[in-house]
Amino acid sequence: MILSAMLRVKMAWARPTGPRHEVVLSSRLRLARNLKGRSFPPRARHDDLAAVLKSVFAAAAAAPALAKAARVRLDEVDAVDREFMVERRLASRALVREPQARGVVVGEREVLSVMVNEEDHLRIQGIDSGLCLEDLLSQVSAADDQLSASLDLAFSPAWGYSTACPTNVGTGLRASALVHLPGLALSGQVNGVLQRLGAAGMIARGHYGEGTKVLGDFYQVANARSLGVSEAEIVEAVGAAVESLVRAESKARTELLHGLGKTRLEDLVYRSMGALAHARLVTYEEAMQHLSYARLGLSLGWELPADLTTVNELTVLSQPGHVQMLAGKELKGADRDFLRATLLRGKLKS
Amino acid sequence: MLCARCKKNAATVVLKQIVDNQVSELRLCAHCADAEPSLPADPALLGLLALLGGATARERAAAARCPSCGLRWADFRKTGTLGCHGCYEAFAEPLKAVLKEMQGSVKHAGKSPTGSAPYPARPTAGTGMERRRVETEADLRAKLEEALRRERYEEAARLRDRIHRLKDS
Repeated sequence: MILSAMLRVKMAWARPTGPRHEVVLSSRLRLARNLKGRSFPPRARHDDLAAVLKSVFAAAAAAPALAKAARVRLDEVDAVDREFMVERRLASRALVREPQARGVVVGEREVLSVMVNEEDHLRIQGIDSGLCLEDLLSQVSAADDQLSASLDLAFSPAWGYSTACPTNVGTGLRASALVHLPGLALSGQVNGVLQRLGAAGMIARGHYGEGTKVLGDFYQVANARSLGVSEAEIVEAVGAAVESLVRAESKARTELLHGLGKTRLEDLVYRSMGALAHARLVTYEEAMQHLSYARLGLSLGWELPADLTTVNELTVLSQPGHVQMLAGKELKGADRDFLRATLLRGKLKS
Repeated sequence: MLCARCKKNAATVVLKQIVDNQVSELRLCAHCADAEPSLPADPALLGLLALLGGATARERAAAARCPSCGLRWADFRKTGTLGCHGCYEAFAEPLKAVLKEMQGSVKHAGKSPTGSAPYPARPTAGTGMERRRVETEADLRAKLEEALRRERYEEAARLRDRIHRLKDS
């Protein structure tokens, strides 16, 4: 477990400091890029992938925005490390499934990172706290400019940046926000609201775990189009859609607080606080649901024996890979649930 | 409920997505869900590709190969991914239909790699105004000729005055 040192580093996106953080946990923006003269990763031979990894790592070393970044080859770390990177949103499931000749460049505070040889040769991404897509665009775009100074990128003035999947062609840009919508979920409005976003050219979906239920009422909103619109226009449209969600969620929370549902809401929140502070076995799904209600109570300004920083941190630390990283070894399900409960109790002592 | 993909394992994951204002749900087992590409909504793309593949002309095109990487259009229709930069050139025509439907556009409007091949620079405010004026004057001249041909002299006089004013401004 080479990456255990990263446990001590706080991810920028988990801090509860960004704009609209009461609803928007984090923003993420990525640019898909490919190199000329090499097949896209889904069709590339090992030699091609290895050559791409080498040149991207070299380009990253020369890029000022990524000068202090760690360059991790996924075939040189173990399965727990890889799971850990997925949970920290530095690597996707697709990237770690086949670790040979795949890699990740991780910038300071884990804001900027680059996945190498996922569906595209490069996925340059930025993640930070709250609704901050414009800021991320300027950071990620600067890193893109610096990388393209030493890489020959596949680009055409007609269709823009070539990508393996034509859903990403053009700007190669996907801007998304991870939003917390317990108010809309409790009042049964969440599907309707997300449907309206779909009509506005957004893709909205739940943040799923292993079960069929949306984990902790977290949803992801992203742009559907990447071609025929500029980067700034995409970011503006997603930002506006997220702002509308923030308004709808805030309204739903206020209505719940003042309506007949107030006692029910209090019951949910305090019951969750009880479970987090006292339970002895907690599954990941259960932890996410309780942390979601704790987060809701805190953002309503209630006096709870917790703070948003701790709760945000626990949504990350409760994930299976992080629990195993804390243990320093692979654990079976029940052992994970026990360690997770111990962790939650320790952090949320009343 | 069984997984909608493999029809063998129990479905434990629901992929929910909104496409064209319709919420669709896909119930999958953990294994198939893992193989499912992440955002964006690929089942929609695959459905679209199946739809576009119906015409006979497109069936013929399906056998064509990309000279750079050897990918066939039929392969793309199966997987939803292209093989290389050259595929965009090789399959430019059928791709246009896909892009038009999927993206609503076939023309890039974003940034370009620094120092790359010439890319039309954004027109400054000045050049935009000038072009509009030139177009307007040309339009007015065409209208003036039309008016003279039809012997509508009052209208022609107004148009002549407008052209003069435009030139003086």
